[in-house]
Amino acid sequence: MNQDKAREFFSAYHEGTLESGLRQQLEARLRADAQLNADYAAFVETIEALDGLRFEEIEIPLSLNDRIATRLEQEEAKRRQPVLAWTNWFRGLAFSGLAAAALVAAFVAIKSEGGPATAGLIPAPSAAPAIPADRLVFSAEGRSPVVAFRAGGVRTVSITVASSGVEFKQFALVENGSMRTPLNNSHPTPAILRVTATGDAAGATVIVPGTAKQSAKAGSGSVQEMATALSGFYGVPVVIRGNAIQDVVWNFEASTALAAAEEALGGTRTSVDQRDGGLITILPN
Amino acid sequence: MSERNLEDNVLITRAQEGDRSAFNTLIRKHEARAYQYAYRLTRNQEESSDVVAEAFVRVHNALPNFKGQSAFSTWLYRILTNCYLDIRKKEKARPATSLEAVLHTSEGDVERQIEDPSRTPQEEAERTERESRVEDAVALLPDYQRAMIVMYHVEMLSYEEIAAALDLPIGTVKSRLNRARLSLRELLARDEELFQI
Repeated sequence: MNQDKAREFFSAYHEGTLESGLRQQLEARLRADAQLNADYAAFVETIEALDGLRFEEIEIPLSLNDRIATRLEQEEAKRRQPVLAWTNWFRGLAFSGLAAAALVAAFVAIKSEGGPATAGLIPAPSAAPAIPADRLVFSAEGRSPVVAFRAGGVRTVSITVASSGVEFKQFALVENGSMRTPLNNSHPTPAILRVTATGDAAGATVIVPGTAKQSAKAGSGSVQEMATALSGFYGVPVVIRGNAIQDVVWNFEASTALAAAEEALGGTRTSVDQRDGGLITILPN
Repeated sequence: MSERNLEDNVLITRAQEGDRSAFNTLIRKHEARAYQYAYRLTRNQEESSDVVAEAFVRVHNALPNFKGQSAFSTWLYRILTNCYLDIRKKEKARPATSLEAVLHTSEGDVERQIEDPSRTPQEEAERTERESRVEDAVALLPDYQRAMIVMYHVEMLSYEEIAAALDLPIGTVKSRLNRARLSLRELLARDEELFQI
């Protein structure tokens, strides 16, 4: 057994799994060859040093969940499947440590009236609601906001994830065509969506409450952050029309969402009302 | 089959049937360990996150075809290793910003890598000199050998698990690991005056 051959058996010998005949040969070689014996001793030290590496503590970055979710969303966006909200549910991976306003809703589902939930031309149904043309109209059904739109020409309505801009639903409408869609969120935290329509310059940010009441009742930040906290605390859908960019401070002591929103937005250039089934609407003045 | 693996099989079956929360749970169960393995290969936080994110995309895409012939964790190790090797191939295709000493080992030449920028001076000081040298030497191994060393000595996978993860015969795994350890010993011997026994 030469030195190179002997070294091939080092691991098995160290682990005690070397067949007995070979073991005896190796041991005889080690006794006779000081260099090989020194090599084996160094080999064992290397094994011990390698085993010590497992005790290294490695910190998991807080952003890892978000990174995985973003990557999954990108992958799904490439496919643009017409199934419901695949992109959004990956955000369910993002958990504690991230601000609620930064979380994108998982499990947002869309149910469209008048046909399958796929992008396509939707003709006006015979009993179309009387809504003005080229203006997004919002109402509520329980905790779910409902968005409706009647097209004054060929129009497109898009619903995107606010934080990433990933579009997960699009309606293409002919003139006088209409759509009406409730937005349901089965994730525990609020979902923040952006709804735009050609023909409606303002667009809207829609906050869909989650299934779990959020305990955070005080804070400061943008109107959108306040609205997200409001939605989570009171369990109401909130729509922000246009861009409301002031910073506000809030402390939800009021018994109703409307009163709490009015208190938070007092002194700002916005107005707030609640109608249409309980939907809170925030409008810049 | 351990309880943990049994639960994985239940989650996988549900995810394959379209249960999104089951897939979420599967990722939550394995993401930390996946990251730790990736970090031990890359020694870089950004790259590790990339490896893990890419791996879970591949898991998601291939999940309908997963038959459960190996444990999910074993399958995940294979995917993570492949993602790591793919990323390394892309990096090697880019022009090197610096070339330093080339080390000759029995498995071929390896280039000395650029110092890992993600380790702070304080982190360096906190680790022993010995561990630091071993880590540096592991980083110099060819990618495939490095993956096997990390799988066995750090992740504590068995030879059988490594064989399943890399789709290799056990005998091949054992001989390649032995060779990796010998290569490592050669690399460490070159710094022997600094290597404290």
